[in-house]
This record gives sequence, structure tokens and C-alpha cells, in this order.
Amino acid sequence: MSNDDELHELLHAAGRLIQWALQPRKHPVAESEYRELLERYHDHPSFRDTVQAIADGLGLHIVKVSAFGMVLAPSEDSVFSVTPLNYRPSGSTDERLIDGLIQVAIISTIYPNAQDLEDDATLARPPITVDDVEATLQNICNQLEESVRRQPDPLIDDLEAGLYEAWRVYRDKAQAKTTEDGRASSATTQGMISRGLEFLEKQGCLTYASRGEPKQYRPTWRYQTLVQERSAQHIYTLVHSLLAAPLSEKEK
Amino acid sequence: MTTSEYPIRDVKLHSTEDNGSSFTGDKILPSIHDAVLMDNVWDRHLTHQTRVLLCVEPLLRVLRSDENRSEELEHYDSLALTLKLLDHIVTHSGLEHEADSDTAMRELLPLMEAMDQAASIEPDIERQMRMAKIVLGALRNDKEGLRPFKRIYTDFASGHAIKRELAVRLIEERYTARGDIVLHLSNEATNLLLNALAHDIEDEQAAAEAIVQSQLARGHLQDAISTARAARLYSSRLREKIERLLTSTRRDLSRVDWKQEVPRILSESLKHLESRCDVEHNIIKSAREKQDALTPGSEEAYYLTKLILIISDCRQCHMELQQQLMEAPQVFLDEQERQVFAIHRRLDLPDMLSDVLTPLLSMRRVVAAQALPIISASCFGVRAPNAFTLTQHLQRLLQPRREPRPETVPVAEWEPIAASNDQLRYTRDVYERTENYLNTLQRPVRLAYLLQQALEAGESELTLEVILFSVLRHFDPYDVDAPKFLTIKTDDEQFFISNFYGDNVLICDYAEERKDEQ
Repeated sequence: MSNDDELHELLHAAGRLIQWALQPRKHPVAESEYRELLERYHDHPSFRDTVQAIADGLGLHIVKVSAFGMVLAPSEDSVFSVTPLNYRPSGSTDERLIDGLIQVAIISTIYPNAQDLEDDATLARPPITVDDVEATLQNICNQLEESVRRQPDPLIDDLEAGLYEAWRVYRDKAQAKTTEDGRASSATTQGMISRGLEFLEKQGCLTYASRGEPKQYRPTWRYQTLVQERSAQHIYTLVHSLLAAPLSEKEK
Repeated sequence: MTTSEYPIRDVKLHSTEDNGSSFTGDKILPSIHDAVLMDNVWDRHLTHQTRVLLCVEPLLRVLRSDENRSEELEHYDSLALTLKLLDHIVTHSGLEHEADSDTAMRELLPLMEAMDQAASIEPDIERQMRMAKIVLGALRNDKEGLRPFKRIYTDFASGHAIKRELAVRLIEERYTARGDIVLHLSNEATNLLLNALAHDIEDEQAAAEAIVQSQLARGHLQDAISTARAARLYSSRLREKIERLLTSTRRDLSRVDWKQEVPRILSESLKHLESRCDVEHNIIKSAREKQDALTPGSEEAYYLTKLILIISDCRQCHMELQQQLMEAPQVFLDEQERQVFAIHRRLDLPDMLSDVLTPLLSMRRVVAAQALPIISASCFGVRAPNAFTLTQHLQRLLQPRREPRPETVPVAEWEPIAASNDQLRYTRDVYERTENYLNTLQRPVRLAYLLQQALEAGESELTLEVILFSVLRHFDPYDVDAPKFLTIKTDDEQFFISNFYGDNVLICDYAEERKDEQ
């Protein structure tokens, strides 16, 4: 095989590995090509470097590679990332904010302690329900509301300018409401949490532990790895950089 | 209370012609003390009770006068004679032979004879008649010329203590149709004698009923129930708070402040319990005692039963809280012993609840929204963007409609909203600039020339885009707007300018072209 052919084969294999990793429901156990490529990734540094270079070019971070598969995380501007607009094409800024809070709350519910993030990602975390996530958010909102109970109400000008706390946005949303045909409305916090969990299930981040009421969701190895190895720290760093930024800079 | 305690007094007299009491109000201007809102400490019932007691005062004065009587009359008990007199008058009231002064006094003679005998004194009718006259005169208020008895009392209104005067008669003389003068009791004296004084004051049941009725009438029972319910809710919240603290302690002792916060909460809970336990114990005890005295099935008994049930429930809640308080210190000690040798977490791992979610929720909305793109990218993982294929699209359109499964989340309808937050790609200014180029053509020009012109004029890439889109739009058969320019593809010439390339079509003014055709 000539050098060009080798290079072509290398790039092709690297591409194939990445495309397998982009399919979260595919497992090396069931796909021989995926399994072989993973072994090649472990055994051959040149192949590894090639895969990493292509992933970098596509705006993808390789979080972990193991016998369970390859876990990728998109950068913020990657075409492979799910943006708030992709998740909710028609919705207000407040609804997108609540979607974001719900995602962080899902992680917080699965990992209520910092120590939990140290656990082995192959250790299955307990399942969660919509009510669990709701309780996580409502508890914090209650505490924050309690802490400002004796302070004056927010100013109208601040409200119009959006200069009020995020917990008020969540608190203002109705928890539950039924539609005319008796279904639970999706325009409530419960509906939005349910939607978030279902989306993660479609992304291969969660699986159904139970489909009966209440529906239970269990994080997959892929999701646990993503959160423990990258997402938790990443979001934490971002939040604290926002907290540390001067007020005028934050509100630009 | 003497008037000297009130610096100014403005007396307003109000006289009455008919029988019955009346009272005048003395408005005392505010004293040097601050006005106190009396609504909470003075009930209108108390004013009524004060007036009732004042009606009895003349009777008691008769009794007190025994001490100052002459020696020969001091053995007579004037109170007994008073009651007999009143009873005689009311017994004959409205009948054929009503009581007059003579018959009323003579009615007292047997009593006085008995008192003479009891005192070992020789009965003397003259002495007895003198005594009877004294008693009758005292009840008629002969000293004041048969005018009403006037008694001053204190009332409270609008935050001020004011003096009022009660004018009351006990016995009055009235003319009959025959022209005789007979004795009548006033309404106050009649009610006193027949209602208040007629009760068996030692009757427990009557007393219990009266108390409960009074409390019901004033809303005190309902208040007791409402207060107990509020206390129960507070206990329940305290219990939940302590439950959370104990759970957090079991997870990680270092995350709970057992030096200040927890002892403060435990102390607060204990104080709350102490105050409520005493109050509720007394209420239940008192309520049970009253309940035993009441007739079963009566309205008062029903309210008391309800009160007992609610307060018992409150006590149960308090006991659960107390149980928790008793367990809390032991939990702390056990966890301290267990966790002291536990491996501590890496310092760089965040606590998602306290280090991430809580600060995010505390942030201002506009600041928190800045975190959304990274949160989405971090939480959702990767998603391969779907490429459109005609085959898939046709298949989707042709497949039969599937009813959603009951357990699936219904897809929300898209609601087009006017999102003022969204930035338009092309502003009005860009469109206006584009129109300058396309609507002011002097002669037919190539698209490349137009683009070059715009580029050299320093137009932005957005303007160039709009020029190109406008040209492309010309080929849209459904474009209903009247064209202002024409686009003609005459050959296969291509252009490459900046980041744009394509057919180098000819553009000319629409009106000019029409004129040429004609």
C-alpha cells in the first residue's frame, strides 16, 4: 500500500470511529467494526492522534475511550452541539433559561454530592423521576425565596430590564396544569422537565428504568462519563466566572 | 377612678322623660399618655356587664348602710328585706291588686318579726315600719327625689378611655287607671331579679354553656383553632428543615453547620414546642372539662369536640418534631464517628447543588442566560445534524399517521411569537442600500459589475447578500411584488467576487425594458 493509500485508510478509519461515536445507541459489543476501531485507537498512537485531530477540527472533544465506547462532547460552536434554539425552536428566552436550569437540575439530582462525581462511571446511578428533579429545583427556589422574604419587592424597571433572579423565572412558571383534553400541559415546569428527560433519552443519555407512572429514568454510562469527566467541571467553571465578573460586564 | 386623672372634662347631659336608663357620655380629651388601641383588650360585652353590675350597686348600698344604722335597727338585714320587697312588687305587677307602698312595707313585717325574735328583741311594729320605710326609700331613691340612680363608669372607644354615666331606677311609682299610685320595678330590676338572680350560679353545666357561648360569640374558639393550625404548619416546616439537615449530615457532615446554624434551629424548635405544648395541653384539658358538663349533642359540645380533635392533631405533629429533636444530637455523634475516617473528596469536584445550581438560580436572569449555550453543549452531548434527503421526506409524508402512545410526551404546537429579542440578519438600512443599486439602473448591467460597484463603495457583505437574494428572488414564479428590475441569463458566464460566485446574469430596469419592447 502506498503512503497515500495508507493515509487515506487512516483518515477513513478515524472518520468511521468518530461516526460510530456520534451514534449513542451503538455499542462496541454489538458492532465489530466499532470494537476494532476502539482497539486500534488504544494500540496505535498515530491513529489516536489522527482521530483527535479530526475530532478537534469538527469541534468535538474526546472525553473517554474505553471498551464501552467513545464519548464525545461538542464545543460550544460545533455543528454537533445542541443549542438552546435547536432544543426549543419556538420559545421565549425565559423558557430556554428554564430548560437550561432543568438540565443542570437533572445532573444535580443524579449527583447530589460532590463525592458522587468521583464514583466509577460504570456504576449505575439510581433512577430519577420528574418529581425528583422538580423537588430539587423547588427546594432551592424555596430557600432563595425565604432569604429575600424580608427584602423589598423587585423594582418594575428592573423587571422590565430582566434584572431579576433566575429563580423567579422558574417560580413564575406553573408547576402543573391540565389541557382541555385532560393531558398534562407541556407549558409547565413538570412538562418542561419531562420534555428534558425525554430528550436526553433520545440522545442516549438516559434509559427508561420504568415506563409506568411515575416514569423513571436512569443515566447511561455515556451520560455519566460525560458529566463526571467534563460537564460538571465545565459548567461549574462557567458559573463561577460569571459570578466573578463585574456586574456591568455580566449584563452586557 | 376619679376625675382628677383626666385633665379636661366636657359634660353633656341627656335627660329622659320615659322610664328606662339612659347615659350620658363624657368625652375626655386625650390624656398625657399616648392613645392606646383598645379594640384588642376591651370587648363591648364588658361594657354591658359593667352596666349590669352597676344596676346591682344600689341594692348592695342598702346592705352597706346597715353598718351606719341606729342601734335599734342594726339587727335587721336590709338585703333580705330588699329582695322580699322586690319580689312582692313583681309578683303583683299587672294584676288586679298591684303593690303600693303600704302593702309592700307590710309584706316585710313578718320577716322583721322573725329577725326581732332571732335577735331576742321585743317586736315593735313602729320600729319595723320605720325599717321598712328606710328600705323602700333606699330602693326608690327618696334622697335624690325619686330620680334615677346615677353611676359613673369607664368605657373605651376609639383608643380612648371615656367616662359614661348610667342612670337607672329600681322602683318607681306609677299612676293606675283608677288614680292610685302603685309600685313598679324598672326593667333593669326585673331582669336582675328574674334572670340574673334567678340562675343557679352553682350549676356547672350552665356555667360551661355560658362560657362556650361567650367564646363562640366572640370568635375566640375559632381563633384558638386557627392559631393551632398555624402552629402545626410551622412545626411541620421545622420538621422538614431538620429532616433535610439530618439527611445532609448523614451524607457529609462537613456540609452542615453544627456549630451555629443547627443548634439555632434546634433551639428555636424547642422554644416553639415548649410554648405550644403548654397552651394546647391547657386548651384540651379545659375543653374536656367543659365538655363533660355540657349536654351531649348540643351545639357547644360539638364545637368543643372539633376543637379537641384539631388540637390533638397539632399535638401529634409537635410530638413528631420533638422526636426528631431528640434524635438529632445522636445522629450528629454517630456520623461524626463514622465520617472522621472517610476519604474526603477531591477539592476540585464541584457540588452541583450548592456550587452550581444554587448560584445559577441566584444570578440575574440576563446573566444566567449567558450560560445557556455552554450548558446545552455540556448536558446534551453530541448530535449528528440530520441531512435532508428527498427519499426520507417522501417516506415520511406517505406513511400513515400514527396516533401518539399515551405514555409519550405530546409534541408542543409551534407558537409563532414576535420575539423582539431576536436580531434580524438584514436590517432595513441594508435593504434600502440594496434598493439604491437595483432600482436606479441607468442601463443594463452584469451582476458582477453591480457587486463590484457595491464592493468598491464599501458596502458590507450583508448588502451584497441582499443584492444576490433580490436577483434570485426574481426567478421565483410566486413572487407577487411588481418587479422593479429584470434579470436575464444570456450566456453561461460566471462571476467570482469576494465569497460569491454564480451566473453572471444581466440586470436591467423593468420600466425601461418594457418601453423598448413596445
